[in-house]
Amino acid sequence: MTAISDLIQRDGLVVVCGSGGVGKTSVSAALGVLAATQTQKRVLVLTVDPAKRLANALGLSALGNTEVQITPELFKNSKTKLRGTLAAAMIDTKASWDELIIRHAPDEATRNTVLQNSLYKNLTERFVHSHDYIAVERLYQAHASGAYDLIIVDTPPSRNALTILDAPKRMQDFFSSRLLKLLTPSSQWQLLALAAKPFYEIADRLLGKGLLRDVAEFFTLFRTMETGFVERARNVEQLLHDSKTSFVVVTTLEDAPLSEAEFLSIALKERNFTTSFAIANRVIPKELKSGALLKQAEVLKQLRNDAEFTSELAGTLTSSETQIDANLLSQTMATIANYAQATTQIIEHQTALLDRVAAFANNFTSAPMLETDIADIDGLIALGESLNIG
Amino acid sequence: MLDRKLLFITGKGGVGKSTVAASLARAAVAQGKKVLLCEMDAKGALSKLLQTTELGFVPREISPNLSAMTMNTQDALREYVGIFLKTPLIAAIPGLAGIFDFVADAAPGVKEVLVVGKLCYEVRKGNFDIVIVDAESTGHIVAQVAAPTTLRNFVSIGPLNEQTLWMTEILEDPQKTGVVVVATCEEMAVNEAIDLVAALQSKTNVDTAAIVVNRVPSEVFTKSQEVVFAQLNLAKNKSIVAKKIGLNIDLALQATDLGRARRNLATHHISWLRSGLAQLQPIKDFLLLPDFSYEASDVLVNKLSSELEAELS
Repeated sequence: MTAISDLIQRDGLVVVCGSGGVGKTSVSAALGVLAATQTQKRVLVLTVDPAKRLANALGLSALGNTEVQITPELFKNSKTKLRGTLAAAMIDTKASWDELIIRHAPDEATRNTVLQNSLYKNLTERFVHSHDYIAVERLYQAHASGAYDLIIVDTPPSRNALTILDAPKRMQDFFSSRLLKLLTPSSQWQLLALAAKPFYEIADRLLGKGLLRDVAEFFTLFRTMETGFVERARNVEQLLHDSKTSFVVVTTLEDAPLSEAEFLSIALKERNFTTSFAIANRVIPKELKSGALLKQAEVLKQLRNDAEFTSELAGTLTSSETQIDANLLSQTMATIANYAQATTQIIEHQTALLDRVAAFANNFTSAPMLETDIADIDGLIALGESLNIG
Repeated sequence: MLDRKLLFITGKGGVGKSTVAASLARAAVAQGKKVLLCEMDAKGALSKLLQTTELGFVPREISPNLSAMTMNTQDALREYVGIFLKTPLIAAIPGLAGIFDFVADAAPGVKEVLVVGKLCYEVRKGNFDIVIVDAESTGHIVAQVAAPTTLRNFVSIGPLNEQTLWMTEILEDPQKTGVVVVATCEEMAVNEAIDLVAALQSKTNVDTAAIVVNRVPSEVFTKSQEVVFAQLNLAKNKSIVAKKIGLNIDLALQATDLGRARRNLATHHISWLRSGLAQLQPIKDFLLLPDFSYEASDVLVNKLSSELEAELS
């Protein structure tokens, strides 16, 4: 079994995936902080939509599409210091699409026409799972720049975490689809275009006049960028399959996110991706042992009904400032006993679910349930350390 | 809220939309209503929650008065063509569905209109008292409910345009349609809920029927019990207490303290949510649902639906 420390020692890419709401973004940031404090690597964290407080925790007022270096100054009050460098950036889908168009457009006229097309904005928002494609595209871009040794990417929330893995392939398929060729006739497809004429007529009747034609016009322009897009998508796909790229699946110990994590992990294996880790997030702290908790709960339950005991203890706890009532003490003891008992049930439940994690992941680690949201660099350092300890 | 005809249940991913949708459906059935529950993303979460086999596009009664279906654009398109254009032959032309899927991906509002149109059609048909939609997460819902209007702005003439008019009538009538925004007591979920309500109010004419805060941890102590707990938890008292009891109760105190911390954090996020919403137009229902996340799914839905029934009556 490898540890998280091995993961961050390797150069390469880490794709953090999992169901929504399990803490992917915090985990990604914490892994980045851990890597940049434990190693001398140049680390980049790419995130989708960080909580304001998390962005603040990284010392950034707002994360933009451009990469921002996190200064050692941020660590000045922490015991842990930066040994490498740490940068963070947000993935802005619209801006990244614009960059892609600018890069791949054959000339300025095409570029401007596409960027100003009314269908374009709509397309960038949802076409071929564009958020997913952009996430991997940004990952590739950062990798190709050679500016980083380790890049950690937090994946966008999607209907199905798998869509991100298929995104580059879908982009390639899109350009080779018969449908696109039918809609955007080039010379050798003229005949087919003629065959498509009835489709246009029916489409006009069904959808409204000219809609299909507008769409076709847009795609004709879009196709001029085919070579660039396809080549890029192929490179991105190769990078995802490279042994340098590892996948980390994050889950909480609850049924729904865990089922998604299992599904995802199986799919990753089927597609021959390198799965490295499963992370169980928000686990009841390890020092809370269910046997001891149950015993304490039992004793408290017994003693709270012992009037002599409670009045004596109430007397002991009463100080000049605080008067403790025996009845109130008895109620409080009952609540503490209940919480202790309920916690043992959660521990048992989580232990059973942790077995499921162990069943699908060769390597897994966990992070404890936190009492507050992560709001500063120390919070990220602490989360990274607990991931490291496991 | 359950007197409306069409409810969209939405919220950030992971807040428990499906659970709330299923529980609302059960609560509506308990009120004697005939309910259609529709899953939008074919993920299968709903069938799992309701412990039934995979759902299809055709509504199926899974328990008395509760039917369920899963949305599918292709089927919605086929139905649209069949019903409104009375040209079933066209729908049968091979490849046509593919073309439409392609166009629908590109043109604003087409896909959404097909989907929302199907839901409105179920409302109009009147086979059910209420249609409850386990909708997509926050990113898509505004586009979805505003789709008929968006499309009207884009395609000026044509049958699809005409069809959007009656849909808008249903969607923009607060007696008939409402969006239920689900959040949990977490920073991101709360922020998304506030942003979503603001977007719904500024970009659409669809009413927000309710805010549901899911998985709210219960209060641990009353104020006076807090004082007692603080005394028990004082470092200098711990050994005295341990001696009296004959056992160290540190872990029990720590477990209780974890509960208190979670509750405090939740209260903080709920008040943040309330103050965010206070800047916007008022929303009728604000419901807090207890944390049952460690229950098995069938128990969870039963417990939540009882809570909802109590809260809504």
